[in-house]
Amino acid sequence: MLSHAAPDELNGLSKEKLNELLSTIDTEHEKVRELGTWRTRVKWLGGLKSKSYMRSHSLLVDEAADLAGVDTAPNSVECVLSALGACVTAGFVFNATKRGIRIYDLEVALEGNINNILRFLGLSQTGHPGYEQILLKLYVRADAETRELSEIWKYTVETSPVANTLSRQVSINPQISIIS
Amino acid sequence: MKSLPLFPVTVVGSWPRPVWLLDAVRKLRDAKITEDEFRELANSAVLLAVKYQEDAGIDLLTDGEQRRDNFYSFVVDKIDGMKLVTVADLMDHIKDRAKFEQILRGLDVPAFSIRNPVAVGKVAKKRPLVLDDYFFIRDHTTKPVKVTLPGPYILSRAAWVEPLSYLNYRLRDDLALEIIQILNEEIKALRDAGVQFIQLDEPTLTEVVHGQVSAETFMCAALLSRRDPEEELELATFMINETVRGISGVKLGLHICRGNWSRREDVLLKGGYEPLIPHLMEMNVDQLVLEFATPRAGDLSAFKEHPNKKELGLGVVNQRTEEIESPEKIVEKAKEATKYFDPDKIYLNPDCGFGTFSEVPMATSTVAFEKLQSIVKAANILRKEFGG
Repeated sequence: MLSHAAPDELNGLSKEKLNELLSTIDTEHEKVRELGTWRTRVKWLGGLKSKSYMRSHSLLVDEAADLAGVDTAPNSVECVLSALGACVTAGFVFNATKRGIRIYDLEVALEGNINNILRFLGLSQTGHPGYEQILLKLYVRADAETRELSEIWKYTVETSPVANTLSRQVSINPQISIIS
Repeated sequence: MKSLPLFPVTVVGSWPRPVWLLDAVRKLRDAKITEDEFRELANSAVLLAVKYQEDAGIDLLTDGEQRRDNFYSFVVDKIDGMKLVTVADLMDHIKDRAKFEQILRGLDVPAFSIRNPVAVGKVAKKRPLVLDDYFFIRDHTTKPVKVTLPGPYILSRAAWVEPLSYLNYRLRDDLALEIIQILNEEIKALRDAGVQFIQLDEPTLTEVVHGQVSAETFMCAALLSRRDPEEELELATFMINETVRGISGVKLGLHICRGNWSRREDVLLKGGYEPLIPHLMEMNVDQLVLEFATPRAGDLSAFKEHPNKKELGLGVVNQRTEEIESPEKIVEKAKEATKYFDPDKIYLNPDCGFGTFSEVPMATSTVAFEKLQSIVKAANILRKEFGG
């Protein structure tokens, strides 16, 4: 997948910048504090559509037609899977690159099972409408033995911010402000 | 032409690649070895595949398709204007991505592992598709040789991806005509070089009738949006007949299976050949190389309305299982076929290749060898009984 890499690059990452980051970040307390807080603002677009803004980026979210949306964009629970997949993709590449391992191809396939979607629709009081299980499968072709790649994968999932968010009890603090 | 015994035993085409050859493929891709260095290794792999087949006692052998990535994508190295594109790279062009995801999930394969030949420019033959491969095996066996080629239907359907092909081929059929020309020339050259049997591979014909409704399949990232299956089969018949137009003096076969990309029977197509048979009878080929070793393939009675009109390459072993079918079981299947075909019109072969996709072989060489040995034993039993 990656070709014509600069000499300093591995897997599309600059080895020099990576080394610099790893050797200095834990002493930059202000930076570490900044990296510990993330923000998103979501604007309603009508119907079940919304647009999320994060730094200079944005992301459209809709709902599937089966759930009364118009299916112009992924829905929220798909975005959760995407977030997890993207997080472990980045994490795996990061951890493999730290070890000097070249990756040729990488793909992550996810599937999540909702406990009871009817709770979201207000049609049931049992269970909950969240994921109760997420299958997360990595496909990778890289210059390393199976054992090492499996170790990196295990470490990646253990240290994934999104995987940790999903698998630990996160305290959600809902607030409301009514604008007249 | 070298003569063949009654109930000739043959293979469908591919043989499992040795690990060192797969390693060489990757090294060639990364330019860590030269084409000449790869060719030497591929030659050795072909000789190994030939030895296995000869030692098993088969009558009509192939080079095991050792030089190919898979049965059809290898053409990109032989045809200008074609490029190997992974399904991962085609994802942005695929309309029915949800269906595609379902297929990938069922197969348990990543999109980056499936490569598709796509027409990105004007196509023209750069070098022989398989003729050079034939010259090599001809020098290393005294047995009759079968040469396999991807058929015009799968090639033209796989290669036309609208956003990538449109500039040179506004319609799929425009590309198809040029592919047909290339294949026709190759078949004539193979015939003139002394090939005894040329087999066209068209596995997606079963998908046309038995596949779920979808604009695309994994095999052809842009298989024609599903027009009426009858229309598709008429088109395929036209393409195949145009491909073999003006060709005589060589046996022509057509192989149609239900997919050979997974060892899981539950993800592969099921359904008998009945809907295809009327069209197959219109195709100007001598032999139909079909799979009948699994219940998914349906019954040989599919031929009851059209007995004996063509030869049958009867699939008698399942190349995906480790269990070695007994000669007695194979004999039973062959005898069932004699209800619809004269004995001298029946060849015995596995259902499909042992290594259709080089990185996903269906069997080890040992298992493949033992299955062929069992078919040979069955053939000997049948020859005694039917006077061959």
